[in-house]
Amino acid sequence: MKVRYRMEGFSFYDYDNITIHLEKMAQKGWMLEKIWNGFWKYRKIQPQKLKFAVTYFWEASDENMQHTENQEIFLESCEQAGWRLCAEWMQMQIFYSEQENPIPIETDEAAKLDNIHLCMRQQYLKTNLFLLLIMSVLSFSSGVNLIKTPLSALTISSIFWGTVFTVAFLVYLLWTILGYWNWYRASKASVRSGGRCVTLTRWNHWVTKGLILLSFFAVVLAFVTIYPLSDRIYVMVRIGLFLFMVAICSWLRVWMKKRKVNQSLSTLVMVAVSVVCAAGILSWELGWEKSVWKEKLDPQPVDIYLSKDGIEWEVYDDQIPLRVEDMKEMEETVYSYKWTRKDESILAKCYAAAQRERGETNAPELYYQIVEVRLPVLYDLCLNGLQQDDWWVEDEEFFPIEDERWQADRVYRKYAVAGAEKTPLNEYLICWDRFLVRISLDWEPDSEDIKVIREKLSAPVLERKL
Amino acid sequence: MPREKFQILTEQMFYILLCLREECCGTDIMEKVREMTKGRVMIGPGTLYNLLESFEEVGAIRQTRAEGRKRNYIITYEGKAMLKEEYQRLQKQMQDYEQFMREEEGV
Repeated sequence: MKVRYRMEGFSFYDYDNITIHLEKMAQKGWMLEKIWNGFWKYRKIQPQKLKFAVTYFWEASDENMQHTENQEIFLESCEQAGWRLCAEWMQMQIFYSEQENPIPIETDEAAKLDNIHLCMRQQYLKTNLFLLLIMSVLSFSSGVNLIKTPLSALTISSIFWGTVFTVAFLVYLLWTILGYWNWYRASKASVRSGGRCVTLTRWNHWVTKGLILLSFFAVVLAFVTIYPLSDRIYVMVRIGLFLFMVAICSWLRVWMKKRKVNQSLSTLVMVAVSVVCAAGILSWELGWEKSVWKEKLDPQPVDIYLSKDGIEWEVYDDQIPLRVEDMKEMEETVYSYKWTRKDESILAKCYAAAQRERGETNAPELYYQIVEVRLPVLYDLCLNGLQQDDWWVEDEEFFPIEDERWQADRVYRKYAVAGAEKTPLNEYLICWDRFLVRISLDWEPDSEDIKVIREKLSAPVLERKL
Repeated sequence: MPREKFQILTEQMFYILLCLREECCGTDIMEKVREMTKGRVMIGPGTLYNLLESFEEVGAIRQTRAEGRKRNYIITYEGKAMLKEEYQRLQKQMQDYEQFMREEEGV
């Protein structure tokens, strides 16, 4: 049997548009069979003209293992009037009729409005208000993060998509709740003056659908980009495991419903299975992360150095674009070179390089961080974020300086600030085109050093290297 | 649905109560109303179910017996009072109309 799943994104009370949509689908040869976890399942039929009706029954619930006695009475009376149930979604009951002019299920607008309002208050509004509370807290926290640590919020994909999800879902919830309130108010006024309940416009449906799709894709991306997308196998396995868990739980729920398992027992089983599945996925992830991901993506130490005071230091030998030796004559290699591709999102990329001394020779060290801003509108936010990357360090601040030697769009230098006194430090923030470089040295760079830094880290060079 | 909702009865509400002067079930009500109004007023199963439940809740009707899923109802004293109130309201409307038309036509 040919089936098709669609994410329809209708508002719960948008019965008019749902009816029109289902009639069109039947004419195209698709009959609604089930509404399952937000997806509408259709099966292939002969294209035909069918009448659809959407109504609401307050005792119905997705949690019910079977129809209640009252619901059975209701369904039976609908069947006598020529209406057959084709799908349910919480209190929503969707019927179809093969008759050309069946008696409508709802014939009194006042009673219909009261019934819809009762059903909306019973589950849909309560659930949405609860979610609104959670999403408001999450959005507030995302906003604070964006202001306090804009670099993480913009360059870490999972955080960025997580923020997009919370904001999009918050807007969707507000749209749904306020939209319903507005619809109820307008319908009440219309019914009081002898009219019908208000019909929602098509664009209302498209906005709802757009917000649902945006939230859905954002949450999927937040989930799969916890690790870089370059590791496709891992991402695929991760999505696969997640879908497997959803499928197992849904299948089990349907199976228990068919066998009329007691509701408390069924809830207990569902919670237990979800916990076991989640624990299984988590342990797999932790194991995988330890064994594969860490080796594959994290810089790997080549040696362990034991200092005089007994501390173990990891020694790296990565290729980094700029080294101390490029600027100073060094007698022998005493360094650990670490290159980290820190974070990457569609908005910005962030890299870091560290050259630390390996022994206790007091050799000069070097540290720099490079941010590539992909969306020009976020340039100032990234610049600000890079300046405040060590926000916990007090009394040190970046100030703009005029220094032609850097040949940059803008140059900032860090100063230790004590009252009105400013002491320059050897830390700079240089803006080359869309690249922002924050570099910290152990000495004050002279013109020759600056020339080398420019040659190794300026925009055209970085474009080729990164 | 609280009692205030029934201060003005819609056509469907009115005819359901009117039918229930004699004990009958849901299907009978739909048929009786159709016959009584010569097809002018139709009551859908959803509306009928919700109104019967609401009328029972405010004591306008009561269940007399249940045979399987078939339930029979009859109007109560309270229901009759509601029906009478509505009848008087409609009568008042008619009187107002007649008086207005007489004045307009100068009769």
